[in-house]
Amino acid sequence: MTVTPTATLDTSLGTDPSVERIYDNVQVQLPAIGLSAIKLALWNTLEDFFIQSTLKRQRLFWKMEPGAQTIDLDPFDETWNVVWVLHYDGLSNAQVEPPALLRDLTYPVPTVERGGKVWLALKPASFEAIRLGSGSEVWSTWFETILAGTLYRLCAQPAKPYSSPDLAKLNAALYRRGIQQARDTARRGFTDGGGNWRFPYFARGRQH
Amino acid sequence: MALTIGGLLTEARGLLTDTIPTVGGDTRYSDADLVAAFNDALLQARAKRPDAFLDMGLRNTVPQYAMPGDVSTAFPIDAAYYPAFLFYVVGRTEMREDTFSNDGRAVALMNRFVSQLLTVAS
Repeated sequence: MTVTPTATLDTSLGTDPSVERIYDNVQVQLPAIGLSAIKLALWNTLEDFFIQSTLKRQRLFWKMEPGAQTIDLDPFDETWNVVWVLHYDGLSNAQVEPPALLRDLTYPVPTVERGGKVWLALKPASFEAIRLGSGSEVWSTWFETILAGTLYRLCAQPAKPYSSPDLAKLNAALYRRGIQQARDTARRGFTDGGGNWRFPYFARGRQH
Repeated sequence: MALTIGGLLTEARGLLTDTIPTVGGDTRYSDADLVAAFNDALLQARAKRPDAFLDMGLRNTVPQYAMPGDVSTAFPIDAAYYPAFLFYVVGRTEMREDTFSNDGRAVALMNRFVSQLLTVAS
């Protein structure tokens, strides 16, 4: 006897609500679409989102051994890779070789230990890495942005039942705006930007 | 019940009114004819909807099936494409030049296969 599955919250949001929420939203909106195609577009979106927004930032203290000229900071760990170096200090004559190789250009090569701080922008190493919880704010705080990014990539594909240049354009605009907001939020250190700004005292801003 | 290649060919035979053997003991269309049409449909679908083959791997060779070995083999791509494949198998089979075939129906079914793959309204 065939048993029809009962419609419950479990079957619509699934055991992995963060990812399946995206799948459900896309499959509700786009006709005749396979899960693999959504997963492909979702992963493209996630990686691009972290690269463009630099939402995931990490400060690191680095140390270069005596006689060494380089230190490679990529990958950051098994879950995150480095997109690029946002800022570094501790070296006066150095360069960054993408994605995160710090090269001391001092000649002759110093025979002392060097150290400093570095700000890194990170991106997920794999879809599984981010699906399993690391960077979980992306599934809630930035849900609409990730959804828009996934939809625009799918709608922009030619010769599919779900091809729609208009929807692609709309979702691309939403996605780009979301990236700008995420980047802005990250640059302000995930705060309100330090409170209401006032002119300094010498510009007659602080009267009390 | 899982959708199988054998099940699809049985349904196709039903639409072709080819379930009862003729006087010689054979059906009008052999299993080999029907599975050849199915294999053809897979290649057509691979060209038109590559996204349907992501699970299978886009750089793998499209599988080709044979009867009776693949009677119980599961329908290889998403079940949503099953009806389109059924129309294709029936349509392509009716393309054969014989007394019972209907060219108009054959063309209509094959066009329906294409429209089901590529458009929403079909």
